Amino acid sequence: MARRGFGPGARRPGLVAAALASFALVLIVLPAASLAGPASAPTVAASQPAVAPGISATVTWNGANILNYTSATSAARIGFNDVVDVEYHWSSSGLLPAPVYTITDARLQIFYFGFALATRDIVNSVALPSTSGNFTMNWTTGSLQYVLEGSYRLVASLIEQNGTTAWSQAFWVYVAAPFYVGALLPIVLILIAIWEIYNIATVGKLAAVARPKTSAPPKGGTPEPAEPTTPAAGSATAPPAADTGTGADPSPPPSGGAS
Amino acid sequence: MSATGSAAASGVVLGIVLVLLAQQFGLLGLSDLVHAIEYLVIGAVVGGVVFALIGWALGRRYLARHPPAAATPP
Repeated sequence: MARRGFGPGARRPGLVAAALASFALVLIVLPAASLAGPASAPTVAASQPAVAPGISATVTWNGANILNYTSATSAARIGFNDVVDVEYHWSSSGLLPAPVYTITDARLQIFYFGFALATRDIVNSVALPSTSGNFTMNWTTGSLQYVLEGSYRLVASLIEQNGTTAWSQAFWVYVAAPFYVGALLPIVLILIAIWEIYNIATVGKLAAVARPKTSAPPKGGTPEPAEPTTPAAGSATAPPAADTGTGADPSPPPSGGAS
Repeated sequence: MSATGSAAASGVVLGIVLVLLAQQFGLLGLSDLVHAIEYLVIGAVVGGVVFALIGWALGRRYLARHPPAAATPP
């Protein structure tokens, strides 16, 4: 029994959906590979509140401390095309005399499947050793918002002049698409889900394939013998070579034989 | 492929899709690679097992509702 145009031995419709799922994963991994930070960038451990022992920092997300958004359930919500004001304030917190740091870079990374989907940096290349400092960043999701929505972990970090991470803090943001499905990935996922549900709803027909078949005659039956062809009386011309297919035997078949 | 196998394969895909959709709707966090793989594997296994049972039941019901036609005499 054919199943929606596919024979039982042919490729299964589930494979098509699997291919679509693979396409969705490519949508995930491709931006991760193309938009990830440079290879020389220091890796940031999200759970580390501070790498340098004598530095403390506060990062505000539209005026609210990012420590309010440290879990996926308490994520900060932003919409499409929203611009977020991210403020970094850091200070040296050691004993007197307070140690000085040369913080040259305030970084914000958005992570998905462990990859940095996007990295934004505010660089102060002329920073001097100091005991405190500020950075201001206007952050948007950029073109990624048309592909992805959902909850993402962000890591705010402060980078010293030698490239080491002086401080970092992870928090969560929920990127909301219009009508919840206004991005490409949820649309693709919903279409795959509908296709698979349809497959499962009609999967019972496949049980008939495994059922023992009855002894019905084949649909085409035995091939009908060809009519004997005789050359027309008085015709001295041989049939055209194209009729034989090969042209190797241009002579007409004997009378009464099957061609 | 049998109804059970086909439904199991569809269930694996559906389990993965539902995990990804849960992240898209803010119900799950897939930013950490290890946890993301755990969620995907769990979704695939649970979806495969559950929908294999559903496919088996649907196959049984289809056979019960569509008995094989009697063989026609020659």
